[in-house]
Amino acid sequence: MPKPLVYTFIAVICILVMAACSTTKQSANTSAQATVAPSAPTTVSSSWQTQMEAERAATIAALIKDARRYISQNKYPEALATIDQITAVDPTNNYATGVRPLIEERALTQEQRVYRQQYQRNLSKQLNRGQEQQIPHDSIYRYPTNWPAISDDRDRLFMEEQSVGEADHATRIALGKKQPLVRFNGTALDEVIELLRDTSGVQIIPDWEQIERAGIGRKAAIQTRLRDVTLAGVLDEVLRQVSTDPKNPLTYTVDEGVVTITTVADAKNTKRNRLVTRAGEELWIIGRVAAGETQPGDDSPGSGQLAVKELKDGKEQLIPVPLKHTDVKASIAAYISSTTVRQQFYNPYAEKIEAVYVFPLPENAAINEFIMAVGQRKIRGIIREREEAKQLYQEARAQGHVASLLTQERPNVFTQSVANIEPSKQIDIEITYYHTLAYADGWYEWAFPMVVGPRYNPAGSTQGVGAAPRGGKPGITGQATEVQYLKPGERSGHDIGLSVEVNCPAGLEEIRCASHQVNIERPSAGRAIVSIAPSDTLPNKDFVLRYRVAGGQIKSGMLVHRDQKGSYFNLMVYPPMDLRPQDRIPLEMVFLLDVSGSMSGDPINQCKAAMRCALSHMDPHDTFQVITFSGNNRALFDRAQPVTKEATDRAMHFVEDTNAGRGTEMMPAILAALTAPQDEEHKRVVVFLTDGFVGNEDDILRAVHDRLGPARIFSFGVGSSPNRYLMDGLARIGRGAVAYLGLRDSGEDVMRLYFDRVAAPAMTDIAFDFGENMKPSELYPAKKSDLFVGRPIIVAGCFSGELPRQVQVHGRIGGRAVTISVPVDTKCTTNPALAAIWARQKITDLSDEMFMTPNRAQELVLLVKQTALDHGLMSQYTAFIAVDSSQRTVGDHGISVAVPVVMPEGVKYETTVPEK
Amino acid sequence: MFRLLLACFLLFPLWSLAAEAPATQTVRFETVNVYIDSGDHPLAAWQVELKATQGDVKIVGVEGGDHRDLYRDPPYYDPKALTAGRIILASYTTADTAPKGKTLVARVHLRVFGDFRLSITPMAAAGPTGQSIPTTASTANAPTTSTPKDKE
Amino acid sequence: MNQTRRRKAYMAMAPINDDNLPEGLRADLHRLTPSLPAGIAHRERDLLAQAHSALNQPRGRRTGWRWLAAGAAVAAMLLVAVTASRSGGNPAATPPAPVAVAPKPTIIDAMIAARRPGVKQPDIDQIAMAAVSIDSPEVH
Repeated sequence: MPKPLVYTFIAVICILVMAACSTTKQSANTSAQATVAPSAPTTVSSSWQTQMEAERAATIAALIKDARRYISQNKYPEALATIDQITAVDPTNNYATGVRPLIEERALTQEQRVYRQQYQRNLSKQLNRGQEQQIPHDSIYRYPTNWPAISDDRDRLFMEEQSVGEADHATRIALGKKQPLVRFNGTALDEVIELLRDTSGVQIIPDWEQIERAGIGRKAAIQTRLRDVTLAGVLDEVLRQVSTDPKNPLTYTVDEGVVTITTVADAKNTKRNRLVTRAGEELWIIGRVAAGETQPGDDSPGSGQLAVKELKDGKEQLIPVPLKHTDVKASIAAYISSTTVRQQFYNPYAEKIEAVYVFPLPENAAINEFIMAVGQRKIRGIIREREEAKQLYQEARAQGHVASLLTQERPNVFTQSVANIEPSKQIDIEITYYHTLAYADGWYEWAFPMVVGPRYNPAGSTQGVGAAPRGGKPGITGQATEVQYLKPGERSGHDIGLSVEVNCPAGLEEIRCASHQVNIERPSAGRAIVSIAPSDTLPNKDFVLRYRVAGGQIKSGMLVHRDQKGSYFNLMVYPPMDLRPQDRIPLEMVFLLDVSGSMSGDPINQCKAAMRCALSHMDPHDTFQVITFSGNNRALFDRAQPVTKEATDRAMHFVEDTNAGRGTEMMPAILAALTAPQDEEHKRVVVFLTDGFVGNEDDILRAVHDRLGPARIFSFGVGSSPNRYLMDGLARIGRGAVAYLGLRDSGEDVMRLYFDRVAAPAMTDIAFDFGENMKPSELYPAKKSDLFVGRPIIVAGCFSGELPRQVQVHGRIGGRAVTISVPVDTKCTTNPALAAIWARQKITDLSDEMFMTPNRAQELVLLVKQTALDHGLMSQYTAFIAVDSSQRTVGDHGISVAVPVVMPEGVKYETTVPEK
Repeated sequence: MFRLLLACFLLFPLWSLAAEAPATQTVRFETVNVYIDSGDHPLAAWQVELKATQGDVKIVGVEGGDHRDLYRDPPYYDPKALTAGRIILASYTTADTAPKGKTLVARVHLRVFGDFRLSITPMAAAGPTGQSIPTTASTANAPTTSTPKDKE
Repeated sequence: MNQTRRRKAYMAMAPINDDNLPEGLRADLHRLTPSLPAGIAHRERDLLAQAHSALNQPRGRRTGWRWLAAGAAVAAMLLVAVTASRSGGNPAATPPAPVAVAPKPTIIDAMIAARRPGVKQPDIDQIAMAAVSIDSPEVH
């Protein structure tokens, strides 16, 4: 084909393409407004369709380009997100289909590598720290390797501060040199001084004026014989012999390299000693505090007189905060509770703000509903993957939309963020969750935590929960989650209303609340409505409600739920009254007592009372050990000792003399308790008394799992707001049990009941028989724990097939096999909460399994995420997001205001919140 | 010279394609109103299926409608449906005086990227006595206001 | 093993002619595969095979005969199955009795339940959630 013809043909094609491009450009400018198809399908013109296709192709080309760029930069998550966008636009795109598996593989490998490195790093750090802490008084013996250089520097600095020049230094060295033999037989003082001057080379100058004024002549006789004495010693002896006034003897001073002999009074007048400390050194001043200045029972370090900040008129300072009120409404049926928490955020400032509130919820709560109320409008939030939800929230916040985000930091700690709250506007957040009640020794317990206690985070950790003073700069603690605390004397105005309705068809025998003042209404024998009294609405302690069912004994049973999505059951097995603990084997009781700063005051007193009871209740065949821990740990004995009066008396004194203070290095204490050499004849039981205020719970639970062996852990949560996630986790992974000791509970009663019931399990080797027709699956907890007298075990699972009339629970008591029959309620198959509770239990189990099999972490994370998304639940990897897209507030997103909280009751601000 | 002109012709379309940045290629938040038109029949229960047929669409909130207190609460939806680009919304009222005509029954809050299209299909609708009634469902993009307004 | 030799090794392992791959995909495949851990070499082979098969899906007139052959095979199997069932060839292969599947409710069922006295809200919620579920099958 001739060349001109070719060129003409190509030019025509280009013109056509240009025309197509310009048309596309015009249509893009006019279609800026989003369009939504009406209900009936619409027909479109072919030219419009061509335009859309071209635009679509351009979008895909741009996205492919972005994806390739991310791949070249090894940013695989971003590349995958771009591939998702391509797939959304064109599900059959060849490039996206082909390259996706490879990118997923690379992203997985990258994430595994990072996780493994971090895990190894943290584990090594903890292990090293544990080893170091096991050395008693190690801080004293730990010399740095470059100590000679440090000593030289120290000497030089000391001399500079003491104005000691090199000459003085040389003179002092000379004065320190030993003289082989010094003999004076009646020699005159002036001759002695001259002889010493000549032999030592030190400039020794007597101040004859002062010496003679003191009544000492130049010819005073010296009679002495000294061998191997330093020159300074010789001078001292000589001057001592000639001194006549004991109140003003002769002495010598060193100045500018010259040793001047004069009287003491003259030496003081010329130069005074001063006490100098250098930066970084500690100066210990030990003195006795005058009687009456200390607070009774206050043994926190540095105390002697607490300064309470008050305003001039003596009233508490009221601090405006963005959280006005929290309202809690709960309804209990059987042993399942449904609770709705409504948080009222209000902007008291003159500018738009974002409110950030860190708060607790029960650690086994299945949170499945989230509603944001803007005025009268209610917007239901959506559960999404955590990172995706955070990104959506940030985008909405940046564009001025009112948005809320709920994320989980721990199973019992959550962060609520509400963006773009305009001045004087209120945004309400409603959170609904299900959870099962705890049961022990005849009492059901419904607990609602109100405040996150100040946590201690080991050095080097960044994923903990930091405690900061109110108004502190965000990120001041260096931790991923931060809680600001009001100082003593400050009050926020945030109060709480709480109402619980208990429904018990069998009848309620007794109902009580030890933590708060409450009003109780009894509309019927099986119903009670409990509400907090208006005088006790300060949210600074857990609300704990306990009740007993009429008849004195609950019965085992199984609840069932069936719907289109699936069938779930919840089986509770309670040991019958006629079961008694098997013969008690000798135990090695290891008492781990938390004496950190957060325990000072009432909590440590509670622990001491419990310990007094424990020490007097041990069996003579037992052995025991007591370990206290705070910044480091102290063991009473080198190894566990038999229970003798002498040993228990010593332990009693050890406990009574303990004072609380400093940090909470829990890991070394756990390691010390579990890794000590074990006696084969005794079964080790670790009794842990703590408030659990640490930020490295996962590390501790992992360490417990790795080192538990045949031991058992029984945890006591002490205080008004203990860390129930850690306490329950220690009991669960430690295959023991948990009890809580509030400030108003009797430590002795709790410990006595504990010893009587849980010292030995009632039933072991538990297995379930669901019959032939019922096919159970996915039972959680997967590992069956022992059955203790007074405490049931609860198992959740899915099933298919027909329900049996009874479920058989097989086990062993002592050496004999026993079976418990559990009736099944086949009539009532509608309990929608069971699906959420099962899913929550599954998430807990999968999270525990991450400790056991860290190499499966990625797979388990995906399982947790999928379970949470399928059931619409909060988890560590999912979050609730709600955005009001219909309104956009003016201005930028405003400042972020953290909601400060009050310190938990009984916890001292001074010993737990570092001031910076 | 002719080759130079030819090169310019060849390059110009590519340049114009690259220079075009469609105005809708930005992340933004939109609200879509869901309407049910029941004609002369009172609407006591409704169920629709909403699908994203085009574009990057993520649901960030589900809100009730606008008719007094009857459809004020957020409708039911399946959380599992949100990740599949498809959602079924439904709600009901037990009031005898159910609304007639075209009723705003729900609002869906979206985060979108680029142009997007939604399709809506009515699945079920009934009057107060439970009898099925014919309805048509439609959606409309609600304008985003910049000044806060309180709902009545 | 350097990148070139590794690439050649992969090419030797996988029976794929990557010249047929689109340029962008080929470049990314080569960039991604060489530095994957050796322990999953067999996985790489599978992935390359998957990518290749995904790209070499039958298109239009070039691959239509594959669909035709597959359809013919399925039809043949169905014919054999129907013939065998009619002639009673295998008395053991009796088709199972259909299992009754509860019809999926609609929101109307939830509303009716809500208007009935004594029905608890959780039950109503359950019906409504079943109505909006995308998993449960539709039965007409």
